[in-house]
Amino acid sequence: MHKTDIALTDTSLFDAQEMVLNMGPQHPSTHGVLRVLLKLDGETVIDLDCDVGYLHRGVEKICEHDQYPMITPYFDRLDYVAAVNGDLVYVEAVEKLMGIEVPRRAQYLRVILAELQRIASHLLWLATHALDIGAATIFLYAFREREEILKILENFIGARLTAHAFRIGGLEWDVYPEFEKHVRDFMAMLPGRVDEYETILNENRIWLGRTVGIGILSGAEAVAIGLTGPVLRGSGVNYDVRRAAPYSSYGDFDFVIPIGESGDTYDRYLCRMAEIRQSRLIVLQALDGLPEGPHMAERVPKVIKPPAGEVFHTNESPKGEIGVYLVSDGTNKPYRLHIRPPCFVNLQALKQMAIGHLVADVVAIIGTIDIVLGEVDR
Amino acid sequence: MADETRPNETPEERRKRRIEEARAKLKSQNAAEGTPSESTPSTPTESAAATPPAASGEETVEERRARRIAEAREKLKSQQAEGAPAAAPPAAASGEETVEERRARRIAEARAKVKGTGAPAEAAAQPVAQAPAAPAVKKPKGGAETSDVGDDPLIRALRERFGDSIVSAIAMVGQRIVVVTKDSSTEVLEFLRDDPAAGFDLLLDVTAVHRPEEERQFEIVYQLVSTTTCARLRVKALLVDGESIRTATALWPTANWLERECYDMFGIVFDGHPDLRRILLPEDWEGHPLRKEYPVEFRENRWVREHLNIVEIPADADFTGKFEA
Repeated sequence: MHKTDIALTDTSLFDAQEMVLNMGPQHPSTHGVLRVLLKLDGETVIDLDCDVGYLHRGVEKICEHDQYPMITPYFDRLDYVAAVNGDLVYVEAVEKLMGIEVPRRAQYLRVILAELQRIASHLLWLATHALDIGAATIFLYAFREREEILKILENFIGARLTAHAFRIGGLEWDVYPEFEKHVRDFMAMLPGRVDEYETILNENRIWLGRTVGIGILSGAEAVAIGLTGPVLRGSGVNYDVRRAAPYSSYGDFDFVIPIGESGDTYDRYLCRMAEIRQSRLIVLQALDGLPEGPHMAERVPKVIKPPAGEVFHTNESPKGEIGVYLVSDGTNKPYRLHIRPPCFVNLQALKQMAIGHLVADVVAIIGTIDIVLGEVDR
Repeated sequence: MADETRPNETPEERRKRRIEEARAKLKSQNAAEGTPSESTPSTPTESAAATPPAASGEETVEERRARRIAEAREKLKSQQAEGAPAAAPPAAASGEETVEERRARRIAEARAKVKGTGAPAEAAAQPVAQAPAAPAVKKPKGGAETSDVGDDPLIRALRERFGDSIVSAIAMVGQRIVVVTKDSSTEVLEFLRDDPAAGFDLLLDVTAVHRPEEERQFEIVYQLVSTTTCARLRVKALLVDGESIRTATALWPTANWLERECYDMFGIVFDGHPDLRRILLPEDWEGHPLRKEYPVEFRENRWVREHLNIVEIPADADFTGKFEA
């Protein structure tokens, strides 16, 4: 390597080293319209401030003026790479408040779709995160597999991205005839493909250099800053809503919650890879045990009017714990609907994780938090 | 790369072994470069050749950087501590009125408004104590299923410890809700976090509900969860319009952005918050959109005119195109 001239490192020549660097909102590696103000000493971050809100659409306000069934599509568009998981938490919150019992077949189908979407979301995360820190091959590989999932979703639901199949009380449709075959084919292929990614990345010198020891958070710090999802589990905290408060039919399935230990970017990557494998197991179990029966609850009223009251319901989305706080006044529109966005809360940890690292590592850390600005800004 | 497969080893085990090997290798590299310890973040990619020999006697680049990082960390920590004199305004804020000043002015205005309606903010502590008379949660006919939680051990412990500060406690669709007075909110939250029997270590959410028809218009809602026992609890505090509540940032740093969002959307002021600015809306936006009196339809306002460069079209404008007859 080229040896640096000692005279150039004489600090007196570069005394005015602190500078403020503006990153985004149109920066390709901020995954949308995130703006970060970095205070730098040379190339090292010594302070930063996030500027969010460029994509604010006032979803919570709009929801107060819409009838309950009209709100579900807004949840597709929050975390638009995990639309199914967003829908699920909303319809379950309304069902919980109304006391609607969802048929078991619908519950199993919901789990299958939600886990497929989780795999798709993790694959997209892997693709973009790896691309950000210089591994272009993985990008093509992961998109190849994600495409298969999108095809299944398209066949089932009609939409690739804003998949809107869930209704209050069940699903709009039952499965299409070749659904099981398509899913099983995909699941047979998946482990080999994940092995491929890991062969490329796990021992890759560049990958290790860019991820190991970057953005370390201890378990206690992660809990205090409110992290959830793989970001929290990468720090060694065993907390997953699917296990902690099983919703839908997650109680029926056998799966492991992957836990990291060092709380760095590499462990979070390992956690997500392991989660893809676990999601595959859940889908296979659900397919094996898929009960016969209706896909929609009987006696769901035509006009949805939950009783006056309130409910807070959370799910494990691919990004973390997504929650809906729903206050009803007994009419056909919510009195107040608040979304607990995992990306918004997780993004707050960026400051803590990035201070002391290089500018290039900020890109890696934004990637490892796995944000979608549609959900951060709402 | 050649893969020395070992017999009797599952793929899972091999993967684990290889990661361990990779980790160990990396560690040895780090040690060779003289990385002080794991706690100091350093980039392992920096090879020894790139690091200049520390020739000068005074502070090296490396040392100064470490010191600055430590300073920045200290600052972050002190900002999170409650009661820290509101931190210096962000360097980015330019213009005449700083964020700090505007906030102070807004607080003063909000307080003045409360005084105007005949409910002095200073005296608010008194009536709160006798608040239990007012039903905290509305239960109209046909409401959601509720149940009594008087014999819940946690609720009993709270009542024993805080007495009148616990306004009411019920369970709705199986979820426990505790309403506390606004002055005791941080004490109750601190107890819930630190008490080993409660152990609510994760603050999931802070939000608000606006009920303009009530006397205490605003509900501040805290959602707590324990990562060990997975128990959940909702804590609420009721505020009169214009009243402020103490911040929870000292207990959970995560409250920082969540409270900023509350301030942005409802105009609720959190006393002692280190950085109370708008977060989703532009800094100079007027109004707080999630208040019930704020309309959902578009309404032309100053911000839109100034920033979106909308030009008014005169009534007698001629729209005939250049090439039209």
